[in-house]
Amino acid sequence: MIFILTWLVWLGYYVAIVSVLIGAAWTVVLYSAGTGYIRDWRSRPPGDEATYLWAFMVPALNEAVTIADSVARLRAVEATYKIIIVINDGSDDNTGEVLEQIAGDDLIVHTRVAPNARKGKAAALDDAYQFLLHDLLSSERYGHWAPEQVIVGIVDADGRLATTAPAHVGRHFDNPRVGGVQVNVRIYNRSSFLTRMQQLEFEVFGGLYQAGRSRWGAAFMGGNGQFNRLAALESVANDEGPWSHYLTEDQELGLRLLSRGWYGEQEAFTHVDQQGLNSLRRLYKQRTRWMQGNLQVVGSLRRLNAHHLLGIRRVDALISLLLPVLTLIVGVAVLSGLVLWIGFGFPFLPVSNLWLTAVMVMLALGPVSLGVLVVARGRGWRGVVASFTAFFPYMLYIWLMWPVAFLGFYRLLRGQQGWVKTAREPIAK
Amino acid sequence: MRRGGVLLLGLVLGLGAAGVVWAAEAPRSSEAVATAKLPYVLSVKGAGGSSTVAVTLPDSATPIVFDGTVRSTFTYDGTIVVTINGRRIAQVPARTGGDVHAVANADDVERGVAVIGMFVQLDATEDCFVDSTSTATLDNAVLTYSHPVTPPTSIGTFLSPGLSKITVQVGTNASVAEQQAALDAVASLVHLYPVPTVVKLLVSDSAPEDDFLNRTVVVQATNESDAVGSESPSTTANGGTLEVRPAGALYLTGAPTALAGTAFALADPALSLFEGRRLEHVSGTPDWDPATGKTSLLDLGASAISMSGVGQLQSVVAVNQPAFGQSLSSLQISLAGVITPLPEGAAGRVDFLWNGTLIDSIGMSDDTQLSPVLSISSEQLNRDNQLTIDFSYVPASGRCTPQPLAARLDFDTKQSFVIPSFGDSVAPGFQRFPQVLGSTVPIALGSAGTPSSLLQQAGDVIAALQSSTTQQLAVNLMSAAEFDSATVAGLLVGAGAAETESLGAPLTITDLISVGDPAPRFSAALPGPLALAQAFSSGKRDVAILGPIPTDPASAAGKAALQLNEQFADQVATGVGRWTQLTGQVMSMGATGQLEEIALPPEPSTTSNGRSFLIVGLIATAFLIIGLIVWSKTKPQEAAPEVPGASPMG
Repeated sequence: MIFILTWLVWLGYYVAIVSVLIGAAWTVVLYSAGTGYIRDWRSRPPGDEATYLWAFMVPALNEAVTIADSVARLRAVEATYKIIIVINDGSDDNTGEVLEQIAGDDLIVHTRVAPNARKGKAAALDDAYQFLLHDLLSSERYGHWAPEQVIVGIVDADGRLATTAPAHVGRHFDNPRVGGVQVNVRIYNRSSFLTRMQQLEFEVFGGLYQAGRSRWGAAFMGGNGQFNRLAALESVANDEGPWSHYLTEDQELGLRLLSRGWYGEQEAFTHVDQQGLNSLRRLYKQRTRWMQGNLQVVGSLRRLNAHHLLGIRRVDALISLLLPVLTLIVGVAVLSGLVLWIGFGFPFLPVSNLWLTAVMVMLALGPVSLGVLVVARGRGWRGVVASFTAFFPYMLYIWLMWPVAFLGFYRLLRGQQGWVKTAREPIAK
Repeated sequence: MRRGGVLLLGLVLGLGAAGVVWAAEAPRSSEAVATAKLPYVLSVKGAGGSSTVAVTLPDSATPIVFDGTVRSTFTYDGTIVVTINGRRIAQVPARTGGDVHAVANADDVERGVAVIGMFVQLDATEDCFVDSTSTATLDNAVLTYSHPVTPPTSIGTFLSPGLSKITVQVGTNASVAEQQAALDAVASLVHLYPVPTVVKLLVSDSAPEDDFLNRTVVVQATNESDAVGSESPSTTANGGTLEVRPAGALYLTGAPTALAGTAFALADPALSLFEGRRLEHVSGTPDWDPATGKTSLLDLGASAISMSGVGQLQSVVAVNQPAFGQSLSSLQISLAGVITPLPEGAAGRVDFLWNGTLIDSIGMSDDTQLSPVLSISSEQLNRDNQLTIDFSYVPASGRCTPQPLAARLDFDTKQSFVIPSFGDSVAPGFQRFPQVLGSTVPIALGSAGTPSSLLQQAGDVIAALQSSTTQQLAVNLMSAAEFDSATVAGLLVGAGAAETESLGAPLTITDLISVGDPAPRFSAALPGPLALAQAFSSGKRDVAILGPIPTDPASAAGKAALQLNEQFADQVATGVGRWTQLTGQVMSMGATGQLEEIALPPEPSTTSNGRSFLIVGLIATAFLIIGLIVWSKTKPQEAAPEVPGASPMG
């Protein structure tokens, strides 16, 4: 019995250490790959946006407060050929009226009504996709556009896409293998600790993880600021459409695109601004939903066994999908360590062995250090100072967000799927 | 009337006995009376059991009376006899035991040694194995003797045997050379004087009061130029000076470089023959001659192994690792013996037990040669071991009455050998000392305690270690920093928190005691001030440390802990068993003043389990990586879809 217990404890140690090592090592790999990727794209000129038809889809459910602003900003986006499709997903505020007031030749309002409305963002996007494919692209006006040349952009109702985004995004699509491009996401209301940290978090996600994966064309999609070639969406669509009913439908779509052999890339030199959350409660709620969605997607690991997803792209996709699981394992290990420390006096760190302590601290803080170093890219010494300044607050933020891993896992175990849309904050002019 | 007669008889006999004792005890006017305890408790086992112990008395001492109590577990009738120098002085019933009070005289001492013996004589019974496992012990045994009170006037009389205590004194501002020589002197004197003589180191500028049984050796360095024989370039070779001064103290003086050699010479038995007051050019080397190869039992101290009788007879041989000067990994014992042939119808066998466990058994036969070869593995080895030879014989009649012809077994201790293999056998802990140290004891004084107190503790620790080996040890006093970076086994007294942490002791000195760092397994709240001794493997060397908890000398608890440290060291140097009182890896002394072992939880074995874990971990990782690489390049079996983007756009 003791023998089995000893080996079980050891297995726990092993899994925790391997998880920490994988997390730390892959962060280093991605940082290195991403640095090369960004240097490469920095030197390239913007593309010719006029080669493509830009179809912007804006899901809107009770977005009366924001929708006029969103449409106005999309109208300002510099694209020679574009369609703005606002999906009014059964709004019961005056979103419809606002949309009527701002109607125009370039704005198409696709209205969904009960019982089909309010089935989630994926359902709304699928519906709009069908509308685009079968109605708009079969019309005389847009019928000549081939699916390879139609780029579908997803912009949330609170999103503010950079006006030059199409030119930057378009240059990626010049490679016919590219099926999706994700632009950097920024927080425009950086007025509090929480929103500033969300901004840093997106910066780290885009500049470290997404940029690194892009080196191998393995970037995932992130919802807001996501662009997909229509041909790519067609290749992975089912009867309903390309988006599935996962809580993180964008990530799952990215996985299917990679599995089908499309490349996914990150565009680091343009962005979409979105609203950050000032309330910790709402932030927890949002991140718990994302965590639950990430864990849901782990169930689709079999999709990695695909013909055109080979070598490091497959390995990266695997690690990316497993990151939430690794987070949970490390979380359990840390909690166990804390319980043993507080309850039983076991030292949390092997302080009598300075080398081992140094390695543990390095493994624990390394990913955070590399993450904030992303802030320094291309900014010289100012960037380095900014990185150092950001280090401790960001670490605090990460620890603050730690519980969502367990909350998300808990909801997944309970099979709780119901989520209400994150409430918007009043728009700052 | 009858009761009155008994009382009268008792009174007369009582007065008579008192008169005899009074007459024997009455010392001459220039003499004093003292008592000598036995070095260890005398015990016998079995119906034919016998045992002796030597009590060393000072020069010119005259025994007066012997007292003790025989405690017995025998169940058959008979007597237990006590002897001095072979002379029966008392006997008590075997079933009950009893007090022993016997007059002794000058004839009972031979060359300053009184041999106290005890044997069992059970009444004749048919059962040859009657009371074969019963024991008798001679408790509270004390030999009272008279001795002169005049202080010693020569080096020979100063180094008289049978002293109670010798104090080695150095000044409070003693140089390192003086401190080292004092420690060497402690080791030399413990080597020269077996238990129960106590040797203590005293750091003081004034010598203690001497008397006949308690003497002082003062260690003092002189300037190199003042050294005797300074015309020679090598003062070390010329040695130092030993001088008995009028007050009776022995002064060990010389150039700093010569002091240690002179201190080593104190262990030389030839000095006790020197009748002069002053001896110059004294230098020596430690009496270090361990058994490094094939060694006879005689050289290991077993003078004779001979058993004759009927029933069960027993003989014990000690095989202690310190006698070999280093740790043993295994042993082979090759015995050469002769045994009487087995008469027809009789039965007999010889059992060989190692530390109480049967390892071989040979039946008696017509063959009179008995040459067993016993192999002792590392798992069977302790620091101190006993080979017990159990000889059982039943005559053909199966009865022991009338007295049958006895069987006899003799082993030739000159022709019986121990062949050692060197390496580790006992687990890290106090049991590894002193054999892991070799001939020299590296010792350092730590940060927890005053220099004087720490040096005295070091003296106690050296005395304790020296008492557990027959080989004379040399001392290498080093700084704590040198000790920390050293690669050889050693001792540290006054270990502070940082030193304890740095050496990787099982218990680290903090408010909470955590055990087994860096793989912690256990913790305990600090119960109060403690003296804590730990022996453990630090890297590739064995280390023994002594330190207080808490280490803050300013606090009341810290002061109490420092006192406990001194008490701990004194107990180890003077208590029964000396160093062997220390068991396991961690010993403590708290407010009760008792030595207590702190049992550590089982070590997560780094040698077996740890290595297994590492190997399995590495294999699993290799499989993971290889599996990942293979999997990342494996295509599914179904037909491959078209590569996206292969067809031209638009």
